[in-house]
Amino acid sequence: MKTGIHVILVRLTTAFAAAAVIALALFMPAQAVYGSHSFPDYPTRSASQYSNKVIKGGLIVALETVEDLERQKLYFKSHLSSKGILPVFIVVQNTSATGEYLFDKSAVALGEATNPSGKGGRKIGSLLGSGGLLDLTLVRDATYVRENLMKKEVRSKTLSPGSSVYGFVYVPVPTDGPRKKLHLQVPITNSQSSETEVVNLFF
Amino acid sequence: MSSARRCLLLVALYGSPLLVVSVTARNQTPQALPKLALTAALVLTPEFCATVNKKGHEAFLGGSEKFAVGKTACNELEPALNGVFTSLTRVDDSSKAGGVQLVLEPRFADVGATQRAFAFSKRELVVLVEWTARDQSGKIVWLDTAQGSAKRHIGNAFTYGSNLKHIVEDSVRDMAEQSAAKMSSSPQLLKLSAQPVK
Repeated sequence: MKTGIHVILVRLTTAFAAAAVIALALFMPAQAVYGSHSFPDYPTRSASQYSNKVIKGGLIVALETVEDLERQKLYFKSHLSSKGILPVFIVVQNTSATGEYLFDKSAVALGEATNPSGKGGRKIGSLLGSGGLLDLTLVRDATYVRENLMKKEVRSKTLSPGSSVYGFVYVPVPTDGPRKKLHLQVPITNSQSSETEVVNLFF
Repeated sequence: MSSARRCLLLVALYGSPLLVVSVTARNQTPQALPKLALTAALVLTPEFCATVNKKGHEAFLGGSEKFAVGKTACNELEPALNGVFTSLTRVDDSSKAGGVQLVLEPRFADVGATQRAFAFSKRELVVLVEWTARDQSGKIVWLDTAQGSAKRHIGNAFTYGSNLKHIVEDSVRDMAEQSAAKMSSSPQLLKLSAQPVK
């Protein structure tokens, strides 16, 4: 009887150990996969070096679209255009010697509202903020792609003399055809006078 | 050595490092920040403190995951910012700020979370808070965004809840420390701090 129990215990231990090894084998690839979730930073330049820019007083506001699918795949690990999203990189640089400006991300908007068509475009249509741009807070996915979009998004900032702010805004585009010419409005407030000037960029 | 013992030895050798809970958030004591000669009010509204961010569609135990970032932020922000200003008063509405020189208003800009398939896989939580600082006249003198992040294992059925609580605490604490660092090094707030009190 005692031997029987001993045999059962040994078999149970063996089975448990084997299960543990299998589980370990399952976990090891997960750890390895984790390291592959690295997204390269988008390269930045001085605002004056971009071809599409507006110079207004002591400010330069520049814009660059990432339309190439391979570049989208590189920086976002996703072909965003096929999902109805066009990443648009903006740079705002304060070139004045003394002036200070407030850049409020939430005030950036499309000049004209768009109704993105196509399957992907219609899906994005329900995730737009008041400015007509993709509002990431409405995207509830818990994925590295979504988190990377958030980390690369432009953020509100006070621009001291010589400083700049850069990052992406995500513009809805149709997935079933070419997009029309778009117009982005970037309001900048002079922190001394509280006057707001809207910089218009077309792309 | 029996096969069972060999298996156990393998688990002990390779499994134990995976069992160690690791947190990459900055848990160290923050360095002393230069103090701004300003009296400030920290506006933590009931809405801000009640912010719960929902992420995902297929959470570990069904339904979406809920990150109670507001409650944690309302516990962490005041102690983190206390050392930055001459005095810091917590209020729940900006109208109750009184005669302070600076009114600080935080707003959750976004919360990003990732999910992983395995219990020992690390996932990340990123918290973005946008700060607006107004002077006595109500004019915005400073606007900035602070990011806090933490990485932690998702955990299994027994440790999931505890890990979730800790990743929220770690990322929000990191955000609070980054906020304090941004405020104390802000040229606009340093300039305001150097001005004679009216």
